[in-house]
Amino acid sequence: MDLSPENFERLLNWLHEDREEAGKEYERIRALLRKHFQAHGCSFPEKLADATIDRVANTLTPDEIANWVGPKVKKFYRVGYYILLEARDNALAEMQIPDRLEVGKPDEEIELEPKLRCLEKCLGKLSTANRYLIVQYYRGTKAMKIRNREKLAAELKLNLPVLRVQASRIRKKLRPCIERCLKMA
Amino acid sequence: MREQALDEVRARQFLLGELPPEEEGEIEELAFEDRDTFALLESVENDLVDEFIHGDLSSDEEERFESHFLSQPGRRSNLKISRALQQHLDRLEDKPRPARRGLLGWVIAFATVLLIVGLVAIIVRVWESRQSSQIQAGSDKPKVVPAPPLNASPSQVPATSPAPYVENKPKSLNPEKQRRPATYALLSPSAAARGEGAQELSLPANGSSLIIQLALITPRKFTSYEATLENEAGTVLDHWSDPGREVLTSGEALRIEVRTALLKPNEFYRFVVSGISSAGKTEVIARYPFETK
Repeated sequence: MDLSPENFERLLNWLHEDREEAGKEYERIRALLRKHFQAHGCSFPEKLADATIDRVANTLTPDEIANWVGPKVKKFYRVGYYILLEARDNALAEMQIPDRLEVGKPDEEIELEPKLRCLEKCLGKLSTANRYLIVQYYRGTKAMKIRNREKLAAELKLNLPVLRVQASRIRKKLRPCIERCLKMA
Repeated sequence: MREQALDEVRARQFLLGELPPEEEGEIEELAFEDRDTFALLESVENDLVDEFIHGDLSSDEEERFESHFLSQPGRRSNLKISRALQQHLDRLEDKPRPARRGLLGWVIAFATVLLIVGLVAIIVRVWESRQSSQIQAGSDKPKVVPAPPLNASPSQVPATSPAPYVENKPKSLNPEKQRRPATYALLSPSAAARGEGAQELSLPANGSSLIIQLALITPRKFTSYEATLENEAGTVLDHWSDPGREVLTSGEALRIEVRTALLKPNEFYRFVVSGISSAGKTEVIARYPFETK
């Protein structure tokens, strides 16, 4: 969404009644946003910082303008979180995931084969340790899965939250590859 | 990691939209400022998706998952990715994991290697045997099929001539009553695509069908098998439910009779064999690509 001059003006007024101070605050917030996006490993932190500012400017409610309590940068952080979520998928934005992949029925086995072969390649690109972790992490269902994870954590000498985050990171690495598989299938 | 600031219970409540706006805002700020908090949220997000896929969420959570969670950026694609990943990992569940099976894994691996070596040896012997019998057959001598030795070779010999490869002869068949098919070929599993050295199969000049043996090289046992014949584009041309099984010296094979009218010369085809487990689950276990001549 583009930022209209009216909304930009409204944002500056909210940041500070004095135009010069508002400009400084704007730049300070922009630098903070850029730094955080960079820390999250985003490829285009400046672009995301600008997108966050635009989003805040366009969505500020009269109630927020009148009654905001605390540092205003927090508002940008809250919006920044969702910009981050969008950015996580941004690299994949051009890819259309076919809806027919929503449900995997047994009788679609043959049709899904190319995708599954592709997924196997994705897993094959992981290190042995990471592959082992992710496969073990997702083994079983319900109580069995919980027990598996406890055993895995003990085996790897990790506590459960750390194991969970590690699995999530491995999955994040897999994600672009899986997206490509879904696109190819 | 600021685990004290955000625990998994709150993370879960946040993701399902169960927290009041002020707390929600705090977590959003924290997740933006702190990479570890963001990572924790991602991991809880992944768990929620998995639980949804497996139907492990309570009805209330499921409702919130659909109405709130999935409305957030990227969550629907995460769901699709998770489904694909879980589906694949579920399949891996059924496959042996040699790296973690210890002695049993090594035994299976060794047995598989022995099976393959035995199969190759027997095929070479069969091929040699057929070569000599074809020379005796004189004018019916088929074209020489180039390497690899696993290539299918036609055996257009009269029914009264000696069986060219006794070792591959099905144990269940009575030699007296057996009528030799126009072409008899043994295919082995491969991932080869067209032009990548897939086995060659000479189509018989006459004869309405040919017999194909598909070597079963799998350490797993299935209750029954299915086979499909596909063309290069993957279109299924024919399907066999529970085809006959034959015991070769080197192991088991499926015996399939294929109508020659289905096959055109100089084309690429493949058989896809699926095993059906005792639980009724169907799993593709091997492909047998070949090119016709």
